[in-house]
Amino acid sequence: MTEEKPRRDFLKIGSAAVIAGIIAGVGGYYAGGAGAPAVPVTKTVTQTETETVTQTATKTVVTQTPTKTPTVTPTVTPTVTPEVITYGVYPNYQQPPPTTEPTLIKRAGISMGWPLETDTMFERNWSNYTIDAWTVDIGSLVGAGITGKSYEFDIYDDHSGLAGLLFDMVGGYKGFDIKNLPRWREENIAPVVWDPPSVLTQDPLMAEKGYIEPAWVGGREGMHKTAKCLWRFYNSDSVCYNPEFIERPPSEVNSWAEILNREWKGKASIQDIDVIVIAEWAAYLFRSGQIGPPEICVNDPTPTEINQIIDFLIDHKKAGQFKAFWPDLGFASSLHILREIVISDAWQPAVYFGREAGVPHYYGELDFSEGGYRCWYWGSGVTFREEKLMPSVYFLLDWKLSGEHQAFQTTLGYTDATYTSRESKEFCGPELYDWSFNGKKTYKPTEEAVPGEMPALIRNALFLPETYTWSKEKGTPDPEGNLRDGEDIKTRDSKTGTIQVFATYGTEITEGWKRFKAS
Amino acid sequence: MSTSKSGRRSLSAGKRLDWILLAPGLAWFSIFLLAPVGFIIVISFFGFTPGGYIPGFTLEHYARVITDPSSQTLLLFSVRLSLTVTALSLLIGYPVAYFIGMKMKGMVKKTLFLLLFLTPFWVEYSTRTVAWLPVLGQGGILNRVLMGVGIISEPSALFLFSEFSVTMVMVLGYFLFMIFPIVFAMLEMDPTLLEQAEVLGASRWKAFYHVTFKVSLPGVVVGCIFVFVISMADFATPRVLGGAVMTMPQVVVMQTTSAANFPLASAYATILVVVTMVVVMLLLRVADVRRLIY
Repeated sequence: MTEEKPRRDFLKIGSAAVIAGIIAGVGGYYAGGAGAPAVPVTKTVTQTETETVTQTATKTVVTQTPTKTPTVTPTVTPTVTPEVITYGVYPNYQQPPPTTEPTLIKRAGISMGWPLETDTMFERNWSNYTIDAWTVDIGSLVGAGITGKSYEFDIYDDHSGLAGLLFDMVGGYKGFDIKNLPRWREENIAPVVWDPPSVLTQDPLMAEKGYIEPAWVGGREGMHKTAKCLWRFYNSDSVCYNPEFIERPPSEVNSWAEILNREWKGKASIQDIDVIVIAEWAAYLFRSGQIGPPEICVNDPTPTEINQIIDFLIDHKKAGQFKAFWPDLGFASSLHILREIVISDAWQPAVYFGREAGVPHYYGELDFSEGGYRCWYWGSGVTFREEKLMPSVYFLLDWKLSGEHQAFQTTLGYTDATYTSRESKEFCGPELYDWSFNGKKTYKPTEEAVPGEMPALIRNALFLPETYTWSKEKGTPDPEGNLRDGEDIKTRDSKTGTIQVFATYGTEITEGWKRFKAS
Repeated sequence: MSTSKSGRRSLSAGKRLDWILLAPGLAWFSIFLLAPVGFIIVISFFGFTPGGYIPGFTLEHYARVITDPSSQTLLLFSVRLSLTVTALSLLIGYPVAYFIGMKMKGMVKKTLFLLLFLTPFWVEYSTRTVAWLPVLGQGGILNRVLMGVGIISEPSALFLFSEFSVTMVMVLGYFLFMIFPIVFAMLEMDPTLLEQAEVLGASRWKAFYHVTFKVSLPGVVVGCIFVFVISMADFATPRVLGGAVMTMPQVVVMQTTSAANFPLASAYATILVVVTMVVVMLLLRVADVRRLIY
């Protein structure tokens, strides 16, 4: 009896738990189904293509002569020579889609924000296509490569800091033929993308390791042949600061060391991402001559150099310089918007997020000798999930090099690989293009875009390219117009101090960062 | 207990039924918890290659973790933080549990009150964590209230990006896991025991200690285990609100995502699990938690 009661109670509890588990499992199944990505809607799309066909016919004319046995042998051999259309160049920028059938393309990467907006733009253009975006972080991409699950998606978001890891170390990913992208032609591609060391003459080795090796299978030998990661856009990260507290224009905030200025003690922040922080401060310390020269490259510090950088940062941490360490863009923006910090390193478009919230912000215009900009490029990799989908995948990747895509990216502050193409210039329009890339002011005074009584320093720090109405006609820059902080593209390129790569000594960087945080 | 043949048959049939009922849960637990933990432990002894591992046996990762002063600091800090959160959760949670378990009349009222504590958990965890930023910040509600009542004259930087903010948010998030087991333990108590103690001459405090507290002790132990284990594994709260605060789970994640050093990350994770289990085993010696079940 004494043993029966616990057993009965146990059986009662056990049965109840199993029944509850079944109910929870069934409920969870249906709940998960409700939250799952939408099943592609079958749409019937009729698309007509027009081709100009030039027909030439050759006829053999037989002259009849009066003979008893006339022979007439008419031979008519019409040959049709279709006009060859070269897509990717004026005026045939956009090739037609390879299919009008409903097609699903799976993209692994960021499934919110601007990447999702560009997916929507593509789907709007060609309604038979659906892009299913999966949120996949770096660890999952690595895991997918190792386990062979990379073939569950068609393309994935990749960048200069990751491509080396996925291709050269993890495996499970392979290159794709660049000639399948009509827009990838020298007349479209920016010189810094076409041949990085020829533009980044301040440090060609940095350009080689940062821009060529991660992008092409075989490095320089594979350039413009087999891509690991299609170079779609690049950016120059800098210091982000609030001019309400740091009352200086961007040209006077020209060093990473401004973050370490004791005037902002307890009001500064740096990232909580070890590999990026090391890249920034390596550039600052090497370029300013405080350590170095680098044994390998500025992009890729050795363990000894990593320890020097960490020791440098620890001194400032112990002095109470840093208020917080931000792990992602949203968090960094929150810190700035709440005015918890006045200066930090930053990604695009942190400054614009701050301005959207009504808090003025600028990017500093860094000097090469003070570290220069931290650059990186972002792109797409291909996984060949289904061979029959490949034409559509290439079609999507080629569209990501289009002027339409560039014009959208420009309002966020990014620079596409095709920013020099005629198509990009046409889609951006002269005002946006000159403002973004050529260091020209807007055609209208900033006061029209940002009304109210305030100093010019604050007004310009509230200007938002996304909300300004850009002229599609050539005009004249207004003397009181807004000037983009971050300078013209050629100047920015010449001040590239480092390019983010997957570091050789990643473990030492992480261990060093741990030592920094524990100090 | 019956010793007849039919009694023995019903016992073994009962045991079979026990195992049948346990089997799905055990299978799930083994496949999705024990097996992955086992893999992590095995990988921690493998050699390192970026983005993968080399099967074999090496203790170099453990040696690296154990001999590294910053790892020792982080581990001790993680344990200290978790113990602090556990102690504060007990301090706040026990009076609440006592009120619900002993003072409230009627199971409906008790259940509704307990459900009230569950409502914050309807909001996703990271959203709840980030929501503290505008509350604890220099321009936040807390600073404004304190300045308004004159306790401080200017905003304090203490409340955000500090050990204080991490501890406070963890306590507020986890003390619920302290309350529930204590309430359940108190509900098991025979209510006449207190009367009997008072009749026999015990003071109210003595009756509370020797009866109520000792009956609730298994619940206290279970609650402490829950809170301690969850605190040790919490990655997001120190990352978002901690500023310079860093705990061991963050190191595990960093080694995986930044360095792709899976064996070293596995070694960190294994040490974290072992340390957590040691503390749990020590807590289990305080009281017999099986009394909560039987």
